[in-house]
Amino acid sequence: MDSLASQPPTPSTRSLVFIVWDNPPIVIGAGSYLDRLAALAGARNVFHDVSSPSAQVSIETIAARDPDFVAVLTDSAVPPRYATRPEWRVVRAVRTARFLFLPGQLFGRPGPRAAEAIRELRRRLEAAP
Amino acid sequence: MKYVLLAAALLATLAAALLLGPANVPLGEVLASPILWQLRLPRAVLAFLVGGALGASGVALQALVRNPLADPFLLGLSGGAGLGAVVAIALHLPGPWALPLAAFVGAVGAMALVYRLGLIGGAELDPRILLLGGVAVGAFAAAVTTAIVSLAEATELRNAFLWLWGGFSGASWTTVLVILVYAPLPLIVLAAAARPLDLLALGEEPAQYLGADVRRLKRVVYLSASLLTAAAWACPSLPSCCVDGA
Repeated sequence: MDSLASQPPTPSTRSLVFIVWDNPPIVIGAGSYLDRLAALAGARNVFHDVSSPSAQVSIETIAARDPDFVAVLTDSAVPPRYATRPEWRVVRAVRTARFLFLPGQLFGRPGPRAAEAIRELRRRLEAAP
Repeated sequence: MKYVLLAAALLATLAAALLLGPANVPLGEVLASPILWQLRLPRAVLAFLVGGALGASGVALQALVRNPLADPFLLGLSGGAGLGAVVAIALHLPGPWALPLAAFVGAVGAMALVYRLGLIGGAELDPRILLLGGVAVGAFAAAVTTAIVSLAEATELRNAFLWLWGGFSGASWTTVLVILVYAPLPLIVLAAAARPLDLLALGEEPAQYLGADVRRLKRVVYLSASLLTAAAWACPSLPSCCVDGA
C-alpha cells in the first residue's frame, strides 16, 4: 500500500463518480476510502470537493460534473436498474453505459487487499476505451 | 385581471423552475442544455399538470359535497394510493410500472369503497356519508400502511417513506405523456359539469328543479374527480420505482 502510495499514479484525466444510492442520489466524497482509492488508481472523483465521506446530490449536479465513468459496487456486470430510467439518461456516462463494476468484496472496505483493489481499478481504467 | 395575474405567476414560476437549480446552466446554453430539457422542464410541466389536476378535482369535490374544506385526500384516495404503493414495495413487485399501478389500484379501490359507503343511505350519494366514509377508509388504509412499514426491512422502509412523502425527482417526458393522455377526459367531464355544480350550490332540490340531473351529476363528478386524483397521485411515482442501493 505504501509503495503504491509513493508511486505517482499513471497520469490520467479519467474522472468517475461513485453512486452508492440512486434515489435520492448519494455519492462518495473526499475523506472516504473509495475517494482515496480512486486517487491512488489515477482517477479523479468528480465529488472530491465534497468534504464529507458521502453526500446527497442531485442528478443534474452529476450531469453537470460529467464523469467519464460511473463506478458501481456490485458483484455482477449488470448495469444498475436506475440506468434505464429517463431522468438518469441526462448523465453521459449512464447514457453511454460507461460503468465500472467493482466487486464489493475487493472494493467495499479497507483491508489487506487494498493494494490489489488499486491495481485492479488502474487496470480497468486503462483497459476502458 | 385575475387570470392575467395567474398567468404571470405561472410564467414566473416556470422560469424559476427552469433557470434555478443545483447545477449552474449559463443563460447562453439554456436552449441546448440536456439538464434543462430532460430534467427541469419535464419536472416543471409535470408539477404544473399534477397541481392543476388536484386543484380541478378538489374544486369539483368541494362543489359536490358543498363543503369548502373538502379535498381529494379527504375521500380516502391518498390513503388507498399509499397502501397500494407500500404493498408493492413490501412484496418487491417487479417492473417499472408495478409501483404506480399498485398506487392507482389502491386509490381506485379506496374510491370504490367510499362510493359504496356513500350509497348506503339509498340510491343517492350522501355528501355527509361520503366524507365520513372517506375519512374512515383513509384512516384504515393509513393504519394498514403503518403496520406494513413497521414490519418492513430498512431498504423497503426508506423506499416506502420516499414514496409517501412524494416528489417530482423522477419526472420525465414519459410521465408527462401518461398524465397528458389520461387527464383530459375526466377534466372535460368536470368542466362540462361546472354549470350543474353551480346549481347544486343552491341545494339538491332547487338544482333538480332548475334542470340538473342531480343523481347522475353526483356520480359522474365523484368518479371523474377520483380518477383524476388517482392518476395525479400515481403519476409522479412512475419512474421512482427502481431504487438500487449498493
